Amino acid sequence: MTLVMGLIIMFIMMIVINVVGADPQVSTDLMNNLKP
Amino acid sequence: MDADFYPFIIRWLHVLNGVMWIGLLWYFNFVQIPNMSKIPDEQKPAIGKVIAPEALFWLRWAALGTLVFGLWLATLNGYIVEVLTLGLGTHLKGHVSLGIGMWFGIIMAFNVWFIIWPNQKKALGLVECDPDDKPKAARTAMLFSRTNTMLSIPMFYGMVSAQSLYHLS
Repeated sequence: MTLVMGLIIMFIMMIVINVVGADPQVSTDLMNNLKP
Repeated sequence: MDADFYPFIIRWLHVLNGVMWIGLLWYFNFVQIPNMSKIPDEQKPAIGKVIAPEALFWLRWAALGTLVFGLWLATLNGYIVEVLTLGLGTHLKGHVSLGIGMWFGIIMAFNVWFIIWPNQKKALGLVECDPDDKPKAARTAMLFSRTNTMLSIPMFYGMVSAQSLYHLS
């Protein structure tokens, strides 16, 4: 149970790192490209 | 001497203290606590009076050592503010991951010194307390120790991924 909880937090953390750590410029370019 | 050598020695001391700390934490959670019920009552004092206090001594000083050398290392590497603010200004994945790992480590060290240790002192009979408080204190210490075990998994992920996945040295 302890290990499962730890792994769940780890996976949430992986997503947070990749969202918060994403380069804002890359995100902006991506959004601009998605516009019609 | 090579300029990299000084931060390297601090990192080495950080890892050395960290292995001592988490090694003992995992000893408690994976070996001692789950097996206490299998030990006959007359033999329990060998664990409670001898092994556990000694293991807790090394655990809590190693926890402090890990914290001190870790913060020192982040200062030497020039990213202490960036990581403690979780890379909010830099948007570098290495800062976010190391920051989360560091905050988990800080919370864990706080638990060791300010929650687990005061409660263990009561549970092990190292300080005077109401006998009725002992089981409650032992349970609180056990639950926070278990929480630390749980946090150690994402903590290590943050520490290690910052370096080898996101190339923050």
